[in-house]
Amino acid sequence: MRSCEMISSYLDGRLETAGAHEFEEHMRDCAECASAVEAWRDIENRLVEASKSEKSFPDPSAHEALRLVQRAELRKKSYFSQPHFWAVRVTVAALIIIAGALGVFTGRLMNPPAPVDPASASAGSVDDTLTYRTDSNSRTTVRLASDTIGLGPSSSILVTASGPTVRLVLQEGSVACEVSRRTAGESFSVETPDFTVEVIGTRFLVDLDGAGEQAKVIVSEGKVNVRGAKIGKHSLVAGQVLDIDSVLEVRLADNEDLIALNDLLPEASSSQPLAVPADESPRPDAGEFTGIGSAGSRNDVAMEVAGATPDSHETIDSELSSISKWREWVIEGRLDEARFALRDHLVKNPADANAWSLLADCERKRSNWAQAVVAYDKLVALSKGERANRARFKAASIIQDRLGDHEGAVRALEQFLSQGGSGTLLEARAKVRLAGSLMALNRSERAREYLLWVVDKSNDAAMISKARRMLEQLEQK
Amino acid sequence: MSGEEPDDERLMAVLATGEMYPLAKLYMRYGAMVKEAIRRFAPEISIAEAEEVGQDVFLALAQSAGRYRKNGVFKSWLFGIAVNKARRWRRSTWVRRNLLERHHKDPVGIFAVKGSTPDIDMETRDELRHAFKMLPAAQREVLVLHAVDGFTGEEIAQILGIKPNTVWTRLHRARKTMLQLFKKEEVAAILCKEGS
Repeated sequence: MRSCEMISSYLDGRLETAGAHEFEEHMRDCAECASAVEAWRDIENRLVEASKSEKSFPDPSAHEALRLVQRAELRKKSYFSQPHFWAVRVTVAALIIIAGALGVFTGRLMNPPAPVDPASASAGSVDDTLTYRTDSNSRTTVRLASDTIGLGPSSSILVTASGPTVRLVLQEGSVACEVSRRTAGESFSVETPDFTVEVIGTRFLVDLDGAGEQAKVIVSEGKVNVRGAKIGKHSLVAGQVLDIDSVLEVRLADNEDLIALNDLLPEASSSQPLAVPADESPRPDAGEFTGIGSAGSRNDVAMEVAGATPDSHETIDSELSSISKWREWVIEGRLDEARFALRDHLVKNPADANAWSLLADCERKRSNWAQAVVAYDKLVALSKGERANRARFKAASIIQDRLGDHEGAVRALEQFLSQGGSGTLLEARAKVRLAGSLMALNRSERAREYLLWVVDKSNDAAMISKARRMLEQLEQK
Repeated sequence: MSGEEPDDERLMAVLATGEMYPLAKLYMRYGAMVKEAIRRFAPEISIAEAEEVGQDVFLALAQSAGRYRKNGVFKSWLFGIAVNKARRWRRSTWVRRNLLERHHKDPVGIFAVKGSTPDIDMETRDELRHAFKMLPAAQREVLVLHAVDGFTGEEIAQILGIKPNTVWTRLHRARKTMLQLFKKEEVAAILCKEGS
């Protein structure tokens, strides 16, 4: 009888092996228990079978997974209550930024080109010039013969197409382009008042804030060249972003960048196939390659992010140096792994400037500000010229903005100026920052000297007007 | 080396830093499984609603990643969220059906279980599903987690936030109810000899 009481434990799977054996022995003699177990197993099996055979949901695709990530991002940034937080961010930036860096630009804004009905656009006919504008709530997609152009909110663009040669003039806002491969003599370029982006079969986004001080170029496929009088020439490959901001910086695309780009080219996964055949798309040099593969479908970004293309991953990977692989990890958000690998690597190779640079990136992404500053310091010690200068400036900016250490910021910025930062594009910015920290420390005289220098000597209009305002504040004190 | 997929624990660790990309991998790995589980926890839910609730589970996962501790199995943590989301859906539906739309009241819905025992033909799957629907929610949760999803008693206790003994009691009751629904009273009686 005692054995009969074990039936529930037996069905629960709670009995040890010996106990289970004992009960099974018991079932040979006890028809009641045997039939009860059989009856229950029958129901249970039907239940399991019914559940297993009823597959109502396919595995989510990479695209769906990315959409969920976007929703999670939105929830994280819930203070941007509107669904297009990215658009909001651009607008906010437009309010903060001071006009002036681009004088030409202001002139153009005064006489905006008349709106033209996009429907009247005829694709790629000879010497068509059309203007497209969007207001703050809208966005639009323009299709030329073999190229797709997505226009963000509050944007205006002038399109001149002459056969396969297409010239876009971005006057404000942002534009994302998916461009078919160009051969010699054909070109696709996006011009802004400050720089020109030239394209050879690629997918990328150019984003100007409202007043034109900040801009960025995001590349998700292929390769582009960015040229401008003030910024020099830069080559960008897939996965890279050029930030034209207080610091001119080529960095890795983060998920916000990719969301921004995908936002403007929404049909990427469903419309006509990419004009660049996968095997012909430009292959970046191993040295500068930074991750997201240029080979593959248009939906590369989403696919790569979700790890759905392990095959292409591996083939590319075998040819890449470890640094490039870790860059990929950083892009994928595998920050902890990348940090671990980088620190491990740096123990053995403490003089690898590229690794320190990537580690600094990684720490900054994780908001480990102090660690990021340490990494930038190492980078400064290991490099020279422009690279060292930029690292010094970035470290100083973090010390000032993120760590709130004004003493430290003053030291770092003065060092930046004395070690080669003078005479560079960043000089005026460094001096305005210095003045800011000096004012916070109540050292008004020194602050005034720096501000007066900026007003008198600099030709950076944005910094001049900022310096003027800070001088006014000093006077009021 | 890089072809190797990061495991759940690593993805959760990165997710906890506020980086949302790992969510994509976890969703692709477990999305379908979670949605199926939600349909079992709340059999009245429509496919579209289960899809929506399933996505909610992962959004909640992202938000709770900071609290995740590697003390159990990741899947238990995920199913714990899924059970809660399914319960919330049931509650909202209950309010809608019973308070707002009284005239639509379903006589054999899960809310009308106690007492009536309509005939069930064991032969068709529809009937099985029907019996399953009539099981009280607490018993149904334990039953599917044990029989279908294959969790251990300790894991179920963790998922539901109850004591292991409560898990066994509910499982025992679930068996009894199911056997009664299938008109196997005598078998149910054998199970009950044990007491409880």
